[in-house]
Amino acid sequence: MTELSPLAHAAAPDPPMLAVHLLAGVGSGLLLVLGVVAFGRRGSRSYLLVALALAALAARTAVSTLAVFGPLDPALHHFSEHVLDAVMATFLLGAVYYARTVDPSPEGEPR
Amino acid sequence: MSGDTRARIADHVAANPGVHFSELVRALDLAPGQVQYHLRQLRDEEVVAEDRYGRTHYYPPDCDAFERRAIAVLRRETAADVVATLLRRGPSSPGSVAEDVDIARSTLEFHLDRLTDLGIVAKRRDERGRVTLVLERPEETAAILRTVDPSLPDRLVDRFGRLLDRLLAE
Repeated sequence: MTELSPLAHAAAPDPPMLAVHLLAGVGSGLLLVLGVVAFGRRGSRSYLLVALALAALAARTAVSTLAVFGPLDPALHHFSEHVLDAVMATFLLGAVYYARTVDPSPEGEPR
Repeated sequence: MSGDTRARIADHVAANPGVHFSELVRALDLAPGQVQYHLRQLRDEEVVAEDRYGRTHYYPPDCDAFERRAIAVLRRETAADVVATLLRRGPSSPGSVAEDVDIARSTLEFHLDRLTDLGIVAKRRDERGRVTLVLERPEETAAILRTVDPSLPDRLVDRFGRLLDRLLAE
């Protein structure tokens, strides 16, 4: 029984895990689409960096899905999640940094 | 059968002036290739196509040039909010409009670029260089504003921009 349980896990992923991954995938996917379309409209560096951060968020779910339901090694999964966290934080910091330089008031009026 | 589909497309465009290609596909439950084919077959007397900021909008033939421009830009929720505020307040400073609509100045300027570009809003400058925003054709714009209803994806993208501008620029 004990030696069978890892096999059983791989064969039939439990429903809550599946539901959470589905929810995260749909949510982060929609956010990524919004981010990309908004960047397409505005074309500023900050919008690009936010879209990239959202891509990292979506990638997190993709990696996790590969680990839980696919062939990805758990240790590699763990490591890549942290790498994606670092990537996300970097992109968001970049977006904050460039916010001021790409958004001058067009009239040169005091804001 | 194909004439039927063509009539459905023309009817939908007449009911939703300024509709996008992807909305037509969704609303009529047709394949993109089908819609593309029929739009090509529809002559200018039935459906008018116009590109605006990288997207093609479709209009019934009785829309004049001003209506087509106004419908395209007022399908942006925030641009519609800006115009509604100007209708309510009359000529106003950009700062007071941004405050009323509750958006960042960068959001307002993005939408004003388009609204002035398309001749919906004008920026008047007094001798001290202060800007006042005025509607070019208030009555016509008010009538168009009442007929335009942005789609959910359009609304979401618009609100994403509002949120981001507010988080980043202020």
